Amino acid sequence: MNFLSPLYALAAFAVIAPVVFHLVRRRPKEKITFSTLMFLDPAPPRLTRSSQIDHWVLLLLRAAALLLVAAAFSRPYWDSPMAASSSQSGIRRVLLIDTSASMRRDGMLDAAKERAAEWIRKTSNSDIISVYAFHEQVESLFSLSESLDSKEGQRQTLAIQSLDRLKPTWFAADLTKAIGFALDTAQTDSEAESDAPPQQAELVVISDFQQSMKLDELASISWPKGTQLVPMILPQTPDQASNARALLLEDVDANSDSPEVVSMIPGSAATEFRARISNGNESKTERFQLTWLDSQSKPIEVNPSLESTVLRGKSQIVRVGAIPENATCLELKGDTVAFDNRFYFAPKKRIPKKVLAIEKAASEPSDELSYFLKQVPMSGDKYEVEFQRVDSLQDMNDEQWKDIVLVFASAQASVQDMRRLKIFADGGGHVVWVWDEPLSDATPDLEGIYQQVFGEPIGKITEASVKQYAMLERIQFSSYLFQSLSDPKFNDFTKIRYWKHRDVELSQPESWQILASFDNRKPAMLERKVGTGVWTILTAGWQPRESQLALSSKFVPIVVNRVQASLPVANHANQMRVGDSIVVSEGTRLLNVTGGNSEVVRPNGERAWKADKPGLFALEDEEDKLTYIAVNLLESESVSAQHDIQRISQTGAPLSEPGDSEQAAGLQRQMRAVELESTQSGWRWLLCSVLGLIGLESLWSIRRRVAVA
Amino acid sequence: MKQETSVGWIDMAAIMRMDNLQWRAKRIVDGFHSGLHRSPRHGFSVEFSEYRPFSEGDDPRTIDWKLYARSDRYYIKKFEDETNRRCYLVVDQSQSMRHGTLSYTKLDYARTLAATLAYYWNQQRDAVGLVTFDQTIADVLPARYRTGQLKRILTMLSRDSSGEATNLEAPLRHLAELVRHRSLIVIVSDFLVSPEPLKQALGFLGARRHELLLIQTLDPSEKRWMFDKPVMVQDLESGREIFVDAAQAQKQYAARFDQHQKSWSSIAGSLGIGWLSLETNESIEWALWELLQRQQRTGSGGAVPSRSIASQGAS
Repeated sequence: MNFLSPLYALAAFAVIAPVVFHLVRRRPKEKITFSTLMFLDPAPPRLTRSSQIDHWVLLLLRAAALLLVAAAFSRPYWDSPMAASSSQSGIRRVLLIDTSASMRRDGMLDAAKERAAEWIRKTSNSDIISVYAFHEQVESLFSLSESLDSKEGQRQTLAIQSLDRLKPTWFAADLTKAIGFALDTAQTDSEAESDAPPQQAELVVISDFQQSMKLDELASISWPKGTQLVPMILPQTPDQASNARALLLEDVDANSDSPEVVSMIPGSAATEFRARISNGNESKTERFQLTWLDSQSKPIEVNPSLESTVLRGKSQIVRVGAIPENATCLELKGDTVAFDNRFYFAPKKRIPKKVLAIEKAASEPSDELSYFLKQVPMSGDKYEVEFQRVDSLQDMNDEQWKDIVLVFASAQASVQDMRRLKIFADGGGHVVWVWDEPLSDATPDLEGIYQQVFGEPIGKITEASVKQYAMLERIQFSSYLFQSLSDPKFNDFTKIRYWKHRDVELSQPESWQILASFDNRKPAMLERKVGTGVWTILTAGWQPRESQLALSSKFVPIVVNRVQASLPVANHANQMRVGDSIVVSEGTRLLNVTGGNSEVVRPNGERAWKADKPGLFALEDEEDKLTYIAVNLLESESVSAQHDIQRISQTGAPLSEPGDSEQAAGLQRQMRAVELESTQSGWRWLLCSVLGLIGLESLWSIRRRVAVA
Repeated sequence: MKQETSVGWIDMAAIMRMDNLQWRAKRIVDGFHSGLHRSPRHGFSVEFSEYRPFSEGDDPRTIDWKLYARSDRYYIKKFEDETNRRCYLVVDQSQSMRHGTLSYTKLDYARTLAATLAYYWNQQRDAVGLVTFDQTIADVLPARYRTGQLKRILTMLSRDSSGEATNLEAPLRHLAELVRHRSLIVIVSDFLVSPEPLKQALGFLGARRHELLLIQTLDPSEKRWMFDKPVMVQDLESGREIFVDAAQAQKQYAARFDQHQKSWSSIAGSLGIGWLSLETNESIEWALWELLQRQQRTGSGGAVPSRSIASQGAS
């Protein structure tokens, strides 16, 4: 039995009052002051019969009446489990637990489990609880369908049991994805339950809410009505917050001529490497040691040992000298958070490629195309691109052709050269033919060359009559060539003036793509596919005698874009982050070098491999040639600073205070109690019995009086 | 009995409604005088005694200049009453005096009485002094006849006191030390203390040849027990509370009170001290009357007063 207003039950104490008043010594009410007591004697109050209880039955009847009145006012009701289940429709509660790498910190995941279990215990039996772990992906621990299939009383137990399956991963946390998934889950309806989607859904996110988590994306989520987000920010202990991370930087050795010795090659003593140590804001230590580890994670002694002081909240570049032979990992020591202390690196070689320019030397260097081309940095992080100028392709052998990806040809290039280039383009090569000389008798017949090479006419080529200067227009910013310049900050081409250019009336305009035109609507840059390659024509040169293009800031991006477009897409990088995936080609074995050279088993024999933990891996091709891949943690996981609840609320997420759900549950319980009480109306029966008791009391006292009389 | 005499016609309640002590005193004394004119007794005023030639050391103010005009000699006019007649008013200000069932308390009455006597004596050019006491002597104003003395007395009487219990013995002994010259000492109190311990102190004062008059002021409620229900009674002075049964108290109180009054008046009689018991609703003129009688009795060689002290005390 429960009471709706139990405070009224305190009125039951009133039953003592008449007894107490009855038994208490009566003191005279009147009190006077008098000048003297010398003529008076004190008379002690005498004990009278009123000090004893004479009429026990009456007293008991009256006391019982009082007790019943008190009970009636406190509105009793009987709680029945039937009523409990029928009166409440369950709230869908989705629990998301962060299992990203940062949760690997000591005690963090245990704390998360504890909070989760605590939260699950607080839910009501009828709630539909589902538990998911999230990192880069969302993993189901106790899914919605499992929850719906299980009986009401068992959901909490099953949900708590499912927490044992929580395992920390090495991935980064993607909160937005997780919340999107949870929202979908909460809104998914099932036939077993009601037809309409549940009114209330609660998403509980238990995470460390690192500041590297992108909360801005939460703003783009459209939150269904009745959904609440409960972020539970796991507090960090000072030990958990004291984190630092070391990264080995890729360095180009300036002294070396060979493009092979580029970066991160163990044992290359001549090279000076640098590492960046970032120390967290809440770090306790500022003194760190760096150690090299080999593939078996054994430390490699170096002399002198590497030590550095990095102030709290700062990052510092330290020189680490040469990488010792066999080293595969740089380990930081000194902080209390260990999971992110190792940085793996693979011997790194950039792939050598060549860009060729066919051009005869001019008397004035600035009249040469290659004079400007050789200034352009064409190498990227994956390719080492070498630029080379040749007069003609006559002396080139196949070995020399091997690495060439792009050829720039001037207007002076011979028909033979162009024919060779056609073959090159047919095989996937890229050719840029620059008509960099005004048409005259001395210049080769461009129309004729094209006709001879391609066996079809290009159209009529004439020298344009330029008044003062011509400018570029109709620039295709969507094309690869200008895409990087499409930003309004960079897309002003009016400063690039052309003094001279050639007009071409294309005979087959449909096979050409015009990338840019002059202001007389004639093409300035045009392109067509040749075989599997690409043939680009520029109708004016970039030398100052022709135009201002080479001197403008647009030149380098355009050339780089052109070179990049000619480079093949690399199938893997040898530096990967956890979560990146590569395709392992057939016949190639993937080995885990730090895991004892064991082969990495991919589920279902898939060709794609997604790096799921840090370490050094190797691809072994059919010729037993090893290509190393270092997999490292995402740097964002090392951030120890946390978002606060205000920051989360700024995203517009419908936050509920931690007490809200309890409050709502309390309110619901209360409403149910009111309903039960009103249906049972126990107070009516109690009041009826009070009236009966009072009648009995009256009868008894009348009988007593009659007896006395 | 009071109606038989020419005094006592003044309405005390009306007098007590006056704020100013001096007005009250003047009103009573004036009324008393007017009553006297119709009475057969007179001749108590200050009487001329003799002329004495001025000698060095005499106060020049006392020189009779009219006689000097006539005789070209310096004479000092001497009055009979001007001899060292000193009067001390001793007023009890203890807590028990604050009892009162009328519109005023015993203390108000006692103060008015004292003021009246002081005014009366002042008019007769007597030196008047005032002593107030509760457990001990509180204020002392030595007897003088001079300008402003009456005002001082009245001011002192008007001063509120925080007196506590009545203890007559110590003030009486102290008084004997204070008042060295032969004086008339009038003690105004409720005398609701046992008389036996005071016998010696009073006798000591009498032995110093002081003339003593004890005036008892009583509230009408104090003469008999008026409550017919059991009540808690709190002593005004000690704060002690006792439970009093009405029936028992009514019998006991009257007997004990009468016994108390008798013992006071007998002790006063045996010591030759005047004893006058007044209820606060009785006129203050009775006190003046008593004084006048005593003056005549002592002055005229023991003339018997018309109002017997003993009978007054017992009434």
